[in-house]
Order: sequence, then C-alpha cells, then structure tokens
Amino acid sequence: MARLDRPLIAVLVVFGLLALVPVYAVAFQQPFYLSLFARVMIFALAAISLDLVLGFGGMVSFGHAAYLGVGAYAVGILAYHGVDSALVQWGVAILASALVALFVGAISLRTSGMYFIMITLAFAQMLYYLAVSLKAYGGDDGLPILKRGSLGPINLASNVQLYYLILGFLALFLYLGHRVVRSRFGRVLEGAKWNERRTIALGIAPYRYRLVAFVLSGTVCGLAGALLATLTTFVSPSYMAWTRSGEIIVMVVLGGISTLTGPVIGAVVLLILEEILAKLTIHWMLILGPILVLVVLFARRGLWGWIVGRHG
Amino acid sequence: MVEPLLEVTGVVKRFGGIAASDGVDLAVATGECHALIGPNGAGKTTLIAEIAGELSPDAGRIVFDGKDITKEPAPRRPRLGLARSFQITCLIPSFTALENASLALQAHQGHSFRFWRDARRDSSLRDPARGVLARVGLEDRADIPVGELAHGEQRALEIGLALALEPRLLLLDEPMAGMGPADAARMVGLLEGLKGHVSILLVEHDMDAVFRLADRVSVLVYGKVIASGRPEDVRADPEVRRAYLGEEG
Repeated sequence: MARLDRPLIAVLVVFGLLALVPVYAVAFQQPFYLSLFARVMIFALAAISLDLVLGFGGMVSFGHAAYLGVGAYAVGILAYHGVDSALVQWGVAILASALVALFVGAISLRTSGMYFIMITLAFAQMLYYLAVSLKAYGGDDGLPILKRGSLGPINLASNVQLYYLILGFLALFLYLGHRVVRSRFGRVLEGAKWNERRTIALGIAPYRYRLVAFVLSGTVCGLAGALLATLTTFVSPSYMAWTRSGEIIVMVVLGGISTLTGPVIGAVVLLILEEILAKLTIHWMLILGPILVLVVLFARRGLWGWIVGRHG
Repeated sequence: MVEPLLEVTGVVKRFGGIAASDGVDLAVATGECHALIGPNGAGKTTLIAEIAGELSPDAGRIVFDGKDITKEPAPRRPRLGLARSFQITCLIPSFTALENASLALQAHQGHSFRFWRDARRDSSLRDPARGVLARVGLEDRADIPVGELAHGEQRALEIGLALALEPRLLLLDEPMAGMGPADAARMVGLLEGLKGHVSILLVEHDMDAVFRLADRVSVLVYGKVIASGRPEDVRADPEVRRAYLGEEG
C-alpha cells in the first residue's frame, strides 16, 4: 500500500516545496526566487497542457509556444489599451488561444506523424513573425506592460499573492488533467494513440476527440502565457520562438511523458538546471545536453518514472 | 425472397493493375453464418475492408439492412450494426482486456465527450465489459494487458470487442489465423455458440471449421465470386474444386 501512494507523496512534496518558496524568499530577502519559481510553475502549466496532446493523444505539437505567445499578447495588448481588469485580460487570452488552437488543430490534425510536427511548427512560426510585424505593439523589441492587472481582492502587484495564485492554477489544472485523462474522453484519446484502426472499427472517429484535446491544451497553454505576461509585465515575440516550443517538449520528456505530474517536475528541473549551469559557464548547453540524453536513455518514463518506480 | 441483410453488388476495387474486387456479388441472409473462402490473394480481406468501410470501392454498391452504405464512413458503420474482427490482431496493446472491452462499450453507448468520471471505475462500463469477457471465456484474464495475453486469448478478445457492439452482422476475418488445434477448437465452439444470435460473414482458411459452421459458402477467386450455396453443393462444384479445393490437396 505504502508503495502505491508514492505518486501522491511525490506530488505533495513537490507542491509543499513550491508553497514554501515565498516563505524562504521573504525570510532571506531573496525576491529573485519568487519570480524564478513563479516562471517555473507557469512553464509547468504549459508542459502539463502539452502532455495532454503529446503524451495522451500521441500528437507531437512542435508549436505550443504559440499559445503561450497568444495568451501573453492578449494581456499585453489589452493592457496597452488601458484594459486593466485581469479577469478580462485572462478571459480574452483564454478565448484567443482557444480559437487559434481550434484553427491550427482543425487543419493540422488532418495530417499525422512528421507532417503534424512540421505543420504545428509552421503555424507557430507564422504567429512568431506576425508578432514581430506588430510595430504598434513593439515589434521585435516586445511590449512592456506598465502595471499588472487588477483582480478584485487579490493584489497582483504583490509578487507573493501572484505566486500563490499561479501555484493554485497549477494545482487546479494538474487535478483537472488527471480527471480528464481518466475519463471516457481520456480513454478514447489514449486508445486512438495506440491503435487508431481499432478505435475506428469500434465506431469512434478519433479526429473530433483529438481536436477537442488540442483545443483544451492550447487554451490552458494560453492561460500560462497570460500569467507569464502578468508576471514579467512584458511580452515579446521570443515567447513564441520555436526553441521555446522545443523546451516545453523537453520538459515533458524529461519529466515523464503521459504522466501529467512528470512534466511539472521536468519544468522545475530543466529551468533550475539552466539557471544554475548558466551561472557556472556560458557553455551550459554542453552540460545540460548530455544530462538530458542520460535521463531519456536510462529513465523509461522520465524523472517521474524514476521517482515513483513502476507504480506511476 | 426475403431481402438479405447484406447485399454486395458489382463491387470493384483496383490497386494499380490488380483488381482485388472484380465485380463481387454477395448476399448474406439474416441469421445465417456465411463463409467466404478462396485462395490467398483472392480479395477476401479487401472485401471485408470494403464492407467495414475501411476501403472505399471504385464501383458497385453495398446495401446493409436496406440502406445503401457504400459511402458511409467507417466509424459510423458499427452504429448501423456492422462490426468486424481483424485477420491480424488489432487491439490496444497497453490496455488490459477489460479496458479494451470497456472502450468498445463506450463506443457502443454513444459519444465519449465525458470528461469527469473515472472510466475505469464506471460500473456502467465495467459490468457489461466483464460480461463481454465472460462471453469469450476471458473473465479470468480481465486485468492483464492484452500485449501479455496468449495468441488464442487475443483472438477471442477480437471477437469479444465486436460482440460488445451488439452487431447484427459480424464480419470475421480469419478468426483462427495462426492458432494451434486446441485454440482453434475453442474458437469454433465460441462461434457455434453465436450462431443464430447474430449473422456472420466468416472468412476462414480452416476448411473443417468452415464446413462445421457455415450455412452457406461463397467462393472468391481473383476478385470474383465463382460459386455460392450450401456447403456440400459448393464442395461438389467442379469449378470450385479446380480453382481452390484441389490446390489444398
């Protein structure tokens, strides 16, 4: 029994540590850790959203940074025009990323395999260059946000309050993700990943299910982008760079594909390692690369598989 | 004459220069077990794929239960009462036997846009799924990933998944493929138990099984049905003997 609970214990430990970061940051006057871990959690949210399509749906989206960008730009552009209700900013970000995901998904899902990877990348690149061309909103240089939005009793200007809000979102969507992948919908998605022919023979057309998963995923990733813009009070095309999409894939693979919690750990480990290694040497990629190769080679389900053993 | 449950008329399917179906005419009556035999490469699997909707014929008509389904997309056909099994086992390998059966029931119960309830703890899926496994003798193997099931058990589950859809016509593509004598005997027993409950179109190489199970037999050679009738008549047909049975020795 105790072994079966390992996944739950691991989740509680991770969230417990994340919840303690502000305490540490305030006690030791290290505000840098607040923004670092807030950013980590935002990418963890993006990684969870990618895992739904990549891990459970078998759809290798190489353009998930696009939704991060759409969400961030929605917040940035609204703030630029004086709309400072965070509820409106985030609501529009969610809606916009859902629509973009619907459009991209509806077209991309007509392909599969390598073509799917390339077409999702192509759409993300289009959005990247669209953002670069938006001279009114800073173009290549990006767009600073003068102040964070307002959200009723929650003071988003407070780094600590924003931090816990992001932590709350992460926990919420991790829970929702677990519900979804275990539901009938999730079973169809996974069944179609393993054997599309079989699901069709059972009378299930996988396309619609995949599209819904793609839109759900893009929407959550869009929310992550909105939170990122709010946190950094800055948006720029670099949020949508294809390397960013690759980074989110690395988080998922490193943490453990189709585990949902794994990608959270993947995001934490990747971004913290980057932070540490970048301080040691400018050639940090040379160290990070082999570490990733070793994890992929030796931990079958990524770090999560290694943490929970066979019971993940 | 009573209208047949399935009527295939003049179906043609070409792959390059080869006509896998070259004007196939075939009728399956309600309630019968109709065997489709023929040498390798005769186009049997192609015909099953056309009836199931996986392949679209270049010409001809497929009418099921009075409805022209020639252009009906494959995923809609199980809803109409057509279910198939595959010649090469086609299951979801990482799912357990019970999960495979549950997925079939999910499909049968309607759409799966349900996002909240845990499907594995859903008694409206689990209970009938266990029933399906019991029908094909796999009730004790429910929680084993199908990739770890023995070949004969996987073949039985193939039939189970089709049965879970409560079809009116079961399309069975070589259910005994690759089986040893003991498994094959068990499969024949299973199929005998289905006779009368569901109409069956059975593609099979095992002649003993065909002559035990079939009410009628059609012989497909080079994409054409060259004979159709009661098993003993077909067996006696000189053209069939020349084209097919002779080769078997």
